Amino acid sequence: MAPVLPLIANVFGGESTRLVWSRAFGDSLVNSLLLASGVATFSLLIGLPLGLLAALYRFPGRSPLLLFQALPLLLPSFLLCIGWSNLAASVWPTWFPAPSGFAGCLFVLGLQAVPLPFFGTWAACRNLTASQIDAARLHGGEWVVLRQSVRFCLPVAVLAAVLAGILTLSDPGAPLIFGCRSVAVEIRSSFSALYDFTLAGRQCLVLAGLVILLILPMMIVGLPSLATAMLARQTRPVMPYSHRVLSWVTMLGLVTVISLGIVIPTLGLCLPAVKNPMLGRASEKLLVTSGTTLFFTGGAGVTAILLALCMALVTAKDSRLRLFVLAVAFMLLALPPALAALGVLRMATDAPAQLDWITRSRLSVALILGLRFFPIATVTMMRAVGSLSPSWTDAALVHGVSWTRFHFRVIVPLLMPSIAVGLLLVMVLSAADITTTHLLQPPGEQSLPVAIFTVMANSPEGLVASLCLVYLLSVILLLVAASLLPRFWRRRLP
Amino acid sequence: MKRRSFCYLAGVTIIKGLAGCAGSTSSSSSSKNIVVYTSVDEVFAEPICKRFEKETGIKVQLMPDTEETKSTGLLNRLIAEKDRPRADVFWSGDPVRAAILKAKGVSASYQSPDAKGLPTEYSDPERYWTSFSTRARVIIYNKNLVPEEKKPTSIYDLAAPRFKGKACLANPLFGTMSMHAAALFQVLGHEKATKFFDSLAGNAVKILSSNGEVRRRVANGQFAIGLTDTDDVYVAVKEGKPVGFVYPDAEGIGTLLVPNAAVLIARSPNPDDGKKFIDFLLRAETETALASGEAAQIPLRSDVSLPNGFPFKRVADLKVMKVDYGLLADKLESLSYSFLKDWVDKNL
Repeated sequence: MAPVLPLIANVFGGESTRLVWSRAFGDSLVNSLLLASGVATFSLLIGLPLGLLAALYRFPGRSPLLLFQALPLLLPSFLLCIGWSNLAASVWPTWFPAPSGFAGCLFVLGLQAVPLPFFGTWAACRNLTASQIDAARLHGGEWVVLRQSVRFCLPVAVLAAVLAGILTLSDPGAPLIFGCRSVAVEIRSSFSALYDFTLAGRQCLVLAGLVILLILPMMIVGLPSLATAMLARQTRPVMPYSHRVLSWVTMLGLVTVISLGIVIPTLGLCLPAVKNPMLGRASEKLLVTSGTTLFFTGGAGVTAILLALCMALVTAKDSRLRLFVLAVAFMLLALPPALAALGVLRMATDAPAQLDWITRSRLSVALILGLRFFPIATVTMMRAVGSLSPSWTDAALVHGVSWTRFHFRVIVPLLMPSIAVGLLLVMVLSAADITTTHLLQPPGEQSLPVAIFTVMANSPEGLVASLCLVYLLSVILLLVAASLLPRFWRRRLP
Repeated sequence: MKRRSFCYLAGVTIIKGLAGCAGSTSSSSSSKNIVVYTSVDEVFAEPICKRFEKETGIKVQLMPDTEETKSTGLLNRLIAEKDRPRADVFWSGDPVRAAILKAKGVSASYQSPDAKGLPTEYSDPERYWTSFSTRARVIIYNKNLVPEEKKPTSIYDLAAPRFKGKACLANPLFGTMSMHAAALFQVLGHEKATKFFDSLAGNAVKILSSNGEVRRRVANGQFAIGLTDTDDVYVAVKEGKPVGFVYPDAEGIGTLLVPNAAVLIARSPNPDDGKKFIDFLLRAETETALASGEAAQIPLRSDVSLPNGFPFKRVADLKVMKVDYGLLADKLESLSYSFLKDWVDKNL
């Protein structure tokens, strides 16, 4: 919260006399809440059953389909909407309405949000024990298995879906492209049309306050079961089961969601590259920006993981503290990204020049991105630490092993697969955060996603499409690496 | 042994990383580097910066901007950094942002000796910004949907019944469309301008996110006509899209010019080198380069030679809309919080 504090001080003392609460802002807020509710419901209705089926049943192409299910989360919604717009302009059937307005935003953002309840359900389902599933199956067949699993996973799925809905409140991408009023567009207008920093900051705080008010009751009611479902230690995990019908239903469901959520809009985005491929120039841009992109995202990953690991180890034995940390993590994730970035800019301007190596360098970008996505790393690390057996700690105590030796020689190596996965997730998510990076990056240093957005206006369409393609391929490579690392690490362990 | 090597490697990496960070901040304060923030498209600005580097040996760290709708924008960064700026120069794609910086106390006055020959009516009288090389606001139309004899000739054609539901423009709260809207209110007066925008709403004119999107959608045939800039039109023409364009209101209020503006940042780290860069920007050779490059920007100087096949008319051959660019910023600010905001909210 530290970077936000100077902004809070500034907005209360700032010069703007404009009213925060106007009719337009109020209407946009209502529209945004409706959109967020719609996105949460849409993603829950699709993510929950698919996540359940994916966890319980074996199906063809399991690994790659699960991997690609994460892709929509990792792209800015602007790119997905532009992809749909390009398709609507070129190959769209005239008899079918193209995505636009509120419905278009709901469709695109809803599909983009599906991975959250999907993976939440999947992770919760993995905490069911094999004996529970066997008992349910014996009692009443697959229908009972599914019904009981839904009851078990529902709190987690609902919370994940609500989080997905809340994240759309601060995203102006789809509303701007499809022409829909939203509070995020209002805030963007205050920044980029009125240049009223104070007003925009106040609007951000109103939005953040609203988010906290919405999340708090849910946290109080739902987090205990979320903590149990996501952070409980596994005993004998459920093994995926082959079912003649449900396996194929699962596969087709995942293929459909992945196609609509990522493949089709990506085709629309990359279509101009087919007619006018400029892969040479795009690769040059990749080479020029790759070092900076890796520094920003790698630094963000390391920051997030180090903090999250410390948090996970400190809260390992205290369930109330764990609950509190999770609540704060969700609140931080829902804040508009510009809030922290502008706070840091102000802080950096007021700080002495000797501190520029922290406040006005690549390091500050990496740190702020890491803090922004630290909640994601926290959930990953907490789950990993929660799955460690307490008998190791007891054994270390009995044998008089020092705290540092025990953690560095035993705990950290065992957590390495989870650390790697968390690191890669934060890296890819932070690459997609254009706002923070663009506001904080030092002059002359540009990340690849920001480069795409700066050339978008008047570059040849083939170049923009080629850059998007190159970016997507890099993201897919990272995801593949994330999925292979745990297996590689397990082979290395004695 | 392995642990020692790992610790050594980790330590070296951290030190190099931190040194890289310190280097990236200190390099901008040495006399052989300047920092230029620009709202001009990177593909157009970069070649000019490279020419400056080659000629002077002063390295330019260019900081380009995204389209205004896609991020909080570079101008906010300049305003946030004003007490201890990082930028030496702001190369603006239009004079309204330069005027905003003047109003916020971010810019400094500088009379460049290389501004000679540039018409003064497009620049700030107190030299807080100096204009050069311009774009024009034009109407782009799809040749497959609009026959040559029925092409639009005025911005009022966006409200013509034959283009009902087939016209588009960029969001008038952002970018050059916002400047165009403010200019219309200045030139037509509040009542006529309000009436014009209401007629657009009545004709189901679609509000898109950017000039680039106007270009894409007209080129793809989703819309028949749209309001955009000459550099957007040029991109579509170069790609072989079936589009044409007109300079609107040649018989009426004229065509709005959107000149670039060179701004010296107040309290900048390298003001002397910043001034050299501004001098370079304002030279006739730079206007020639911007006319010859991918931007196809129209020189403000009448004696600058144009490349063969230059697609646009000289300023002297256009009926130019007479606006006071210095007053546009205030006009835009009041409109963005009142009429324009309401109009966009009702018609988005």
